[in-house]
Amino acid sequence: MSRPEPEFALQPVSVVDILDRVLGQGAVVTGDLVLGLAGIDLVRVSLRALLASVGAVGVAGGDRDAD
Amino acid sequence: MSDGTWIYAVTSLRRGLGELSGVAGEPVRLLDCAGLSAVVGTVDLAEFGEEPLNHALADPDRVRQLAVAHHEVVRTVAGLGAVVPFRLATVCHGDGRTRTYVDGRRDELAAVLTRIDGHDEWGVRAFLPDPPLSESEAAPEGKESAGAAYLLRRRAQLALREDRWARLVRRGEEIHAALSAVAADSTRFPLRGAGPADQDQPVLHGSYLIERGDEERFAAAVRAMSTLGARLEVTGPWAPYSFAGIGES
Repeated sequence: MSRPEPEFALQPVSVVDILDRVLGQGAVVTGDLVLGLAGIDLVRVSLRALLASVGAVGVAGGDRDAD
Repeated sequence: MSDGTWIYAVTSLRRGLGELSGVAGEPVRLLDCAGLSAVVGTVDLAEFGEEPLNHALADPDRVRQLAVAHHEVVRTVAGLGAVVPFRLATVCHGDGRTRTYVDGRRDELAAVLTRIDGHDEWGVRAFLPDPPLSESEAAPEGKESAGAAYLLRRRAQLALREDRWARLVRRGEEIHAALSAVAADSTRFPLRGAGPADQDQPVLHGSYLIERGDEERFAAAVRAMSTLGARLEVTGPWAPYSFAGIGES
């Protein structure tokens, strides 16, 4: 990609940042056309579990240090 | 095996995806849907059906792996053309139902694609230094150290800390407003576990939709906040996940 890079220090992309977006954002399909409607809530549950585990291993750029 | 269709994104891109593999290692392809394309992969419902997927999503390592693979596809396609990213684990019963879905939301999806075309999402976390409690805040007046008096003091102390956090969050809102002024659109993520007792928590976690070519103006706004004492962490460019505008969010 040949985009001009803005002049500020960019943080490395962390798994937490990716999770915030792929689990919490993005287009949501509801209704009979998709599987796993119950899965949406489960995703949130697992997100919390994941945040705990990410915190524990201290992924760079994460929100929190090891608790 | 019974096939499912995993949807990564919808794009205006018609061809030229190149070789790309998805969450199951499957080849990712463009599915033609009435003038738009769904970016999809065929997955085995024995592994990606409702039951097994719910099982998989309870496992943090598996979630992480799926999230990174899903994101990698979205990121790659976003480098080629405008995309509406889809939430993780959007699986349809086959291509036919995927087409039915996209056809049904065609106008909405096309409008989002037009709006985000030529834009990237940038993420910002803002931190503000929280000065140490002053002596009067840390140890309010009073000589009694016995039960009730201690509890009263403690309560007053906590209230002060909450005030301080509320002030920091208000400043976070001001930073958000300043950055939003140079963005085509903006949104905030909820602050996680934030509160008066938490040190080193961002007072703002926002996302900003910035037109390509406008990055320098955005960077200048970020720098202006930094000179006012805030520390801003920037990530990007992201596919416009936070501006997909379809469904519940």
